[in-house]
Amino acid sequence: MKFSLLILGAPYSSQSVQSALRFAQAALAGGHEVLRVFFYHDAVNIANALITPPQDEPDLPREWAALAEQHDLDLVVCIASALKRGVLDEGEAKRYQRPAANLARGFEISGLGQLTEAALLSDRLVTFGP
Amino acid sequence: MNDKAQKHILIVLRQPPYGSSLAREALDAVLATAVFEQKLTVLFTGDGVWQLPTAGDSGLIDRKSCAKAIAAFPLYDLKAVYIDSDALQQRNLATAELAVDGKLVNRADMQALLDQADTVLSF
Repeated sequence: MKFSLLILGAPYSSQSVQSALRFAQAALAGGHEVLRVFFYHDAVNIANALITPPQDEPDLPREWAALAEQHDLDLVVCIASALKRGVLDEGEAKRYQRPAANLARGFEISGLGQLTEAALLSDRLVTFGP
Repeated sequence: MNDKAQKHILIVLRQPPYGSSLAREALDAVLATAVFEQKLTVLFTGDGVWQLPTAGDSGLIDRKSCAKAIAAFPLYDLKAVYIDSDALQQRNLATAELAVDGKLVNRADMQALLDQADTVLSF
């Protein structure tokens, strides 16, 4: 089955991002495909490369990046939400003349159309709320 | 993309308008989906019905109006708009002027909407 995930909650502040990670891992282990993972609203914060969790807690950005690399996943962060929350790739940092870019490895910034397309191409779209 | 079968997408809106930005982001997702020319249905339920009344001026708190965005649904050819009538009643909004001419639905109707959809996005 082809799954796509829509994730809304802020990493660590909400359980949303970690629940989605566990779901993705289980789906892949079960032989399913994870077509796209779309991070929206506060979940875009997952793509902030500066996230530094305590050593005795899961490193969610890196766990997502590792899963993405292992299974060639499409991790998409909504551009409008990301800009607002200060998650920028090199292009956006240059465009808006910001002091730095901070997009984490494994994530890509794109538009809302990617969410709709994922809904159309997948058998199931699962939302992990705020 | 497979254009053969049109998909029926249901977007459920449950957030009040301004306390969190999620309501606004959900409406952006509705409008972004509307341009894909699929069968799109929108359901306002729970605190989501607070987005509907035309009364009030969100400019006073420097926010873009949810009601005005909803009033633009017809411009996107989005007509399948449903509103949970119990949610309106519980919030004393049953006689309020609303931003969209939505069909009032009860719990059984909402269950049917969920069953009929191919995909549900829940905000």
